[in-house]
Amino acid sequence: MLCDFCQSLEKGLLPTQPYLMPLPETDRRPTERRPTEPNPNEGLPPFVKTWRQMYAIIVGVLLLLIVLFYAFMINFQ
Amino acid sequence: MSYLDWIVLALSITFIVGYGIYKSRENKNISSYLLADRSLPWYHVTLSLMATQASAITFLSAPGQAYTDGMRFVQFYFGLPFAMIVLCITFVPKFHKLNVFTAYEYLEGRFDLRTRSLTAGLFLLQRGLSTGLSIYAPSIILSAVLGWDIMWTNIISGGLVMLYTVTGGAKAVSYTHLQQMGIVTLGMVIAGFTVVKLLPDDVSFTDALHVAGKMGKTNVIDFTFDLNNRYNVWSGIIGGFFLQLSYFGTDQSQVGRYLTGSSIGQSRLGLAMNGLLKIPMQFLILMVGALVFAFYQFTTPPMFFNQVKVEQVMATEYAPEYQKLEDRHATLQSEKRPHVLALTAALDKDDEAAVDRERTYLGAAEEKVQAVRQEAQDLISKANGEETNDVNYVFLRFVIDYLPAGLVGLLIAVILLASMGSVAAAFNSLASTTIIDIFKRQVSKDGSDKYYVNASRWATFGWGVFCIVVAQYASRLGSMIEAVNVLGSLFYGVILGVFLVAFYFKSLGSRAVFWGAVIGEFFVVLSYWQELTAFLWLNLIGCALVIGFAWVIEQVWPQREEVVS
Repeated sequence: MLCDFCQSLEKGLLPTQPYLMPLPETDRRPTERRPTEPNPNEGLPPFVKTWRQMYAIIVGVLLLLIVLFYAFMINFQ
Repeated sequence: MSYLDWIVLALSITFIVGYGIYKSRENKNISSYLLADRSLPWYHVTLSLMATQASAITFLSAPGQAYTDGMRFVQFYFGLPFAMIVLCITFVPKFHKLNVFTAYEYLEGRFDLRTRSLTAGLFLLQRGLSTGLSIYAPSIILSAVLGWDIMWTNIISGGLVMLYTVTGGAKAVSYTHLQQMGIVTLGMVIAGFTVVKLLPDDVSFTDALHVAGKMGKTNVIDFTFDLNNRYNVWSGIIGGFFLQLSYFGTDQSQVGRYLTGSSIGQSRLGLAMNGLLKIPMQFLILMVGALVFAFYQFTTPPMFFNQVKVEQVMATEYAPEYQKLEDRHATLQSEKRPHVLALTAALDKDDEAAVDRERTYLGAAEEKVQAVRQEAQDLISKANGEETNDVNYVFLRFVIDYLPAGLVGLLIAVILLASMGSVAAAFNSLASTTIIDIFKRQVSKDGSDKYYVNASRWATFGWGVFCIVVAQYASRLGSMIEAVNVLGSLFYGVILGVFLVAFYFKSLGSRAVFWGAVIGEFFVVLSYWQELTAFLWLNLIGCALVIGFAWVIEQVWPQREEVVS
């Protein structure tokens, strides 16, 4: 399997610009940086991997609280 | 109050107001003044959300609500976790990405200026009125403790908040929320321990809960589906979901709190933690009320907890009649006491037959006590010529009568600080909406940052004065925690409907949603006026009406076709 560059060479199509290894994002000047997608999992607590898990925990805690409150009511009524 | 109480109270208030003013040094521009430079971490967001929602009303009314009606009020919050999830998924990313200052700003891009102005106007009306109630709540404490006219206590408690919100803006609000929540939590934990400590020696914490429970005060869960029952699991989850979604998603006093988060993730986590912590916190506050009820089964409680009203009625021709009710109340309480003791003894011995016997007796006796209390309340209303209610005074009376020196000051500081937290956020949000959605958008578009910061300060000041004026008329609304939520329910459903159309119904245009909102609001007010349903359902009804009417209007009078033609 040839890379894109090798394929273009084989077809005789040389790139119009000299081929350069792209610089890492951090080494570029700010004006040249691509707008980066925000990390979707930013802000999560360490014990949770995705926001979906976090939401499941919230619903689970609510259900647990309803069960505990019900037990509390039955016990003391 | 003792000198020690005054010192504790003065130190707490001075610290918060001083800290807020100190923070005001850092306001450079409008983003800094209204959104704290969008720089705060998640725990700031969580505590700020909680401090904004938990006003003085929470700490005054909720224990009183548990005392009179039991702990079932906690179900009101069951929709909140679901609302937090929807906010995290939909509202937070949209608001953050568009870099908006207010929630209503988003609506102009999606619909038009008219819809933005309508929702901003509904918010200003609703929030301005309910903030008046939030100022009134701690004013009754100061009025009862100091014997001052309530007009002056309204001016002082509202004015203290104005001192640091006018100068400090969102940063002062958010930073003071942190300190306020710390003092409030400490105070309520100490209050809970103190109630238990004040119980007779042979009555434990669980005995007290059994006593409260056997007399119907631990009625936390009700699975019955009934549209006219204010608090059950279903009205809490469904009606409460729409109320909380609307409150946190479209009320600028809350949107402004999570827009201060430094990123989408920090705002999301702040909301998620609020979803986890709010219900346990509310449960514990209500439990303090149930414990106060249990405490008063061993000590004769006042027949009516608002001492000022009692003194007023005793100065009228109704005094002998009131005295007779007092005597009957005292007799009923003293007849009950041996049975309460017998109940705790039976519980200790696990004697189920005796427990059942005493529970039946106490249930009937409590009904008689409540009937006498109702008669007293009616008599006071008749004598004073105005409706009255003592729910908001139950916890306050207990604090003043039974808590030791120092703690009374701390608890009164707790109530005042809680109020200041929510009122501060409200002032800030009223100013944001007035300046961003109305002044800067429609009146003066080309000012400098400094100009808008100054305008925001004047707007904060103006709303402060308005809310203090509203507070003067808030005394006839029964339980204030309900009054605030009823007021919110009249408007929130409709505002939420507009936002849900914006997010999820891309084919509906601005004209359809505008008229849908106007007609929807009319029917919500009509439903409330005609008492067709319990208030929590108004949130769902308002939201559904906006979506339904907008859809129908779009079908009948399609905007796109008219534009083309």
